[in-house]
Amino acid sequence: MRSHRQRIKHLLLYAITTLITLAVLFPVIFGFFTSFKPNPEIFTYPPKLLPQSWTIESYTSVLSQQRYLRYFLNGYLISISSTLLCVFLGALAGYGLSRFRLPAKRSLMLAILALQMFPGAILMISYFNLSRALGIYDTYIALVLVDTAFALSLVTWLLKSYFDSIPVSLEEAALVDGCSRFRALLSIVAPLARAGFIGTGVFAFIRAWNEFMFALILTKGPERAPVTVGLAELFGQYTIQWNGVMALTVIATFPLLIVFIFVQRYIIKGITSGAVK
Amino acid sequence: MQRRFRDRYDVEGFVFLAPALLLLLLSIAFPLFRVIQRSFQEYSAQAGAFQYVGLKQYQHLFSDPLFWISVRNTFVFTLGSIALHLGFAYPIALLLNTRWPNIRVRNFFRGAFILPFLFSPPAAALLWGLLFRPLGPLNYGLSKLGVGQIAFLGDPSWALFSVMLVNAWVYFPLYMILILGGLQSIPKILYDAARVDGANWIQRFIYVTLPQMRTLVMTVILIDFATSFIHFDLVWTMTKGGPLRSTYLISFFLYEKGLRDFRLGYGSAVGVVIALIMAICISAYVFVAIRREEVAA
Amino acid sequence: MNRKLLKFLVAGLVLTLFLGATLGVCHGKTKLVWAEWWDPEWGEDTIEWIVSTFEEDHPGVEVEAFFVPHDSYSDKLLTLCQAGECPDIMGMEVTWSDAFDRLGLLADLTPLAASASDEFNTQFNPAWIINYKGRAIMAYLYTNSYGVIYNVKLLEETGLEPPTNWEELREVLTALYDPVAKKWGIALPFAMKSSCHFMLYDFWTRLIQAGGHMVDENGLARFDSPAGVRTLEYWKSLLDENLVYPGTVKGALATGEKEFRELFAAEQVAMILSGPFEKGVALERNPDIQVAFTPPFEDCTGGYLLTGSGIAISSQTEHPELAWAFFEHLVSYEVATKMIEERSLTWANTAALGAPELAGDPMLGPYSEMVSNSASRSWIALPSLGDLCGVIMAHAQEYFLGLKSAQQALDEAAEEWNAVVTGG
Repeated sequence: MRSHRQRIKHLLLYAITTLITLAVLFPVIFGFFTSFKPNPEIFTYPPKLLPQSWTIESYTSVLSQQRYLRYFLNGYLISISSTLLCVFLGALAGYGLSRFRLPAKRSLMLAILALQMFPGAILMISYFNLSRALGIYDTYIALVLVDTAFALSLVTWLLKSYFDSIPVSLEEAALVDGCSRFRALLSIVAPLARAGFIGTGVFAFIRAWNEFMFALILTKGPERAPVTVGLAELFGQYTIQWNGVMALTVIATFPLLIVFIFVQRYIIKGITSGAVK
Repeated sequence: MQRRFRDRYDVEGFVFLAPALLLLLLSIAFPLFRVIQRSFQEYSAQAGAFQYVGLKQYQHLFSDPLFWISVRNTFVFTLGSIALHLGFAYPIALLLNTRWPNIRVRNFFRGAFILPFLFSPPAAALLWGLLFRPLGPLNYGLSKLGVGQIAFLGDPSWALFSVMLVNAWVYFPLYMILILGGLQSIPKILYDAARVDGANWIQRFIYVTLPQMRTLVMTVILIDFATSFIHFDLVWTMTKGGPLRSTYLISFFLYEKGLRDFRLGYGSAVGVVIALIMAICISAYVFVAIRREEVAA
Repeated sequence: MNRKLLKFLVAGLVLTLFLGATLGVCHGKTKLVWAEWWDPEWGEDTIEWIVSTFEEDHPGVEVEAFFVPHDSYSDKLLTLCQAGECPDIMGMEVTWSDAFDRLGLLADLTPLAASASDEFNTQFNPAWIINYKGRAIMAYLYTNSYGVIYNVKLLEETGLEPPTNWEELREVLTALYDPVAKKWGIALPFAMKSSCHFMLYDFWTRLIQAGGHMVDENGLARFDSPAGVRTLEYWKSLLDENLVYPGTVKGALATGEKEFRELFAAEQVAMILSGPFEKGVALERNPDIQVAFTPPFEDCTGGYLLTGSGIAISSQTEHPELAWAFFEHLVSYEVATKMIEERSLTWANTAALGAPELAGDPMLGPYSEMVSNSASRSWIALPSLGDLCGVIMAHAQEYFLGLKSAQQALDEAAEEWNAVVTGG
């Protein structure tokens, strides 16, 4: 039953959202087309959105190099592992902070947050030496641990606040029936906090995906280095491969976008089977 | 005695906390002690080792005017970024959260909005560097509209705002998702109850949405503060601190003065001071905010 | 579902750890590690050629070229070296050399140079070895000097003659300025970047010809002189007369060093101020472009700033003689000719540079005149050179924006400069 008023509301919704989307996406579109321009064309005046002479040299130069395929593989491996580990540990910790009475909880939470409060750069040397001492220099594990550690505090805080918004009463019924806390977390709370997991998962993933400094320091080369290091190769001493950077971004972003769209379905399920009593 | 402890606190909770705490302690807390130790030392080439020099590094640090410039810039950048992030993310999340006639269309938009976040900082910096050029697309558009040219990255009075804008563009999707997640876990029944009480959408927003979202928004602000204060990659690639040091952030100071020339003692001192400033700000915020919540409850 | 994922994850991590630990192949050969940043500039093929030609002459030796991007080079190398993992021979910029030297990471090249081959001694100019605090810490692979370069075709089209001094430059720029098509004669990257571009390319170069000195023997500032003022005033006059891309002073502060090269290669500007390598860079972008150096300029004096980039040998290496042999290979006649021809780099080999056909080269002909002028001067290694460059740039910008007078800006810059050089 679409009333006249509802139709106007929907139209307005579409219009506003489309406008905002155009504003937000214009740079993306510009970047997309830039990847198909030869470099000199990017700097001509007047600037044009579409390429005058389409070229895929930026794509071929990246994709034809085995090294870059390796960078991608490494990037996905490290980011996915670190995201899973981070969200898992963060969920446990967040649940613990949310559901249990703990001594000095506020200070504990602040202490956890405090570990985020400095630029990671000062740990550069220590981590390098540590990784060599532990024999994990130039391995996936080193980067996975570092990426996890750097995102963990915030993921914990976020998941705690998501758990806080889910009423305890839902678990209490199960607990009375003899369910363990961990199972309660798994079967009752986690499904309801699905949207929260998505959000923190995205946060952790992108944080790991974009990590450059430690990826550079803790790896020797394309064997283990992720995409960020590959991207840095396009920044030369004298020139930058502008179209190459855009091409690499398009190539890197595409799968991520598809995964994200796919993962969105979980959020829909979360709504329809939502927190309604 | 033991019984009382077990009655007051749930020890089981520590089991949940343990793995995360262990990782954090080992990977961050312990190296951090080393950094604090270093901040009281200086590398002596003759001795070939670090030697204690008391507060020398700190004195050097506080007497450098560039340090204070960077502190000021960083606060402006951080607070401005938080405002911009929330200013973009909240309304858009609300838009996406309303009841859409076609779910596929809504999902399309949601996918579209996340695109900026998928750009790595150097790529985004490069892209916007091209857009901001004096004879680039943005200025071309401005000149066609009759407005004069703006040197977004060259004018010291514009540069900081420009980099904040780019920072907002790249990171708002994350906060949008987080806020959206929060909006979606608000029990529908609260809205239904409000509607029954005759509340219109503005009132529903003020009396249901805002209060339910409080803790999440506070957490988001906290996270934004923590990440923006030590921001490096994006702004560094765009301006390297210029022009006229108008975009010189405190992480640049740490990098240029401490790490680039390998002055580890000095760099450690800078790191400690940064951590202290952040700790003070965040503690103040948390204590004020939590107290308010306890009062409200 | 979480449990299954967890199991997968643990298995995956264990497997990765195992794989990671079993990396590491045994060699029967002596291994020489060469750290470099030149892959994007010279291409991987060239690097491989350099390595394989050396390996042919030295069977039993394997050279590993280890690429690190220029922007993060010193960070990565300093980290590696302080942990004892220094490469045997590494690319080095004078800008970074102080940090490495302070940590005792650079070998003194003097004893190695003393027992160099004859070929080396006849083809390498001793001035190309950089001394710092009494030790020879690095050696150039190629030198640089910065002068005005122009696009031959564009000047021909406008019927202009290439300028031969700074005032003629001003005239040419005035003629080239086209407000309608938004074309300027030159692009100068006056934006604050952390590299030393402004100080080296624009300030120091012009200062020498204004009759000034940058520093005294101790590295203390001498640029706050009338010559320094003259230098700054010259550049500001170009900005004020709207002769510099893209117009307003503030806009000119936005042009970065990477961008101004693109503008030149895209033929949006007819001239830039840079070194001989610029030809290689421009050709890479635009194979049709023809570039040339203007004839050497003269103001109060002639002369140009001499800089360069090169290599250093690690103090931790187990094969210093082998590393030196590789260095000799790098500056050998064979390598030099190739680099000069393909990349327009003024490689550090007197025989190759003195080849007769180069005298007529539009880039290298004027270049050798530029550097052989008696007033030409070399830069020196200084502590915290990165900071010093930033000092000059920041104060120059204040002057360009009209916030301070030239003398004021230079005086304040000199004060900060000296604080850095002495304070450390």
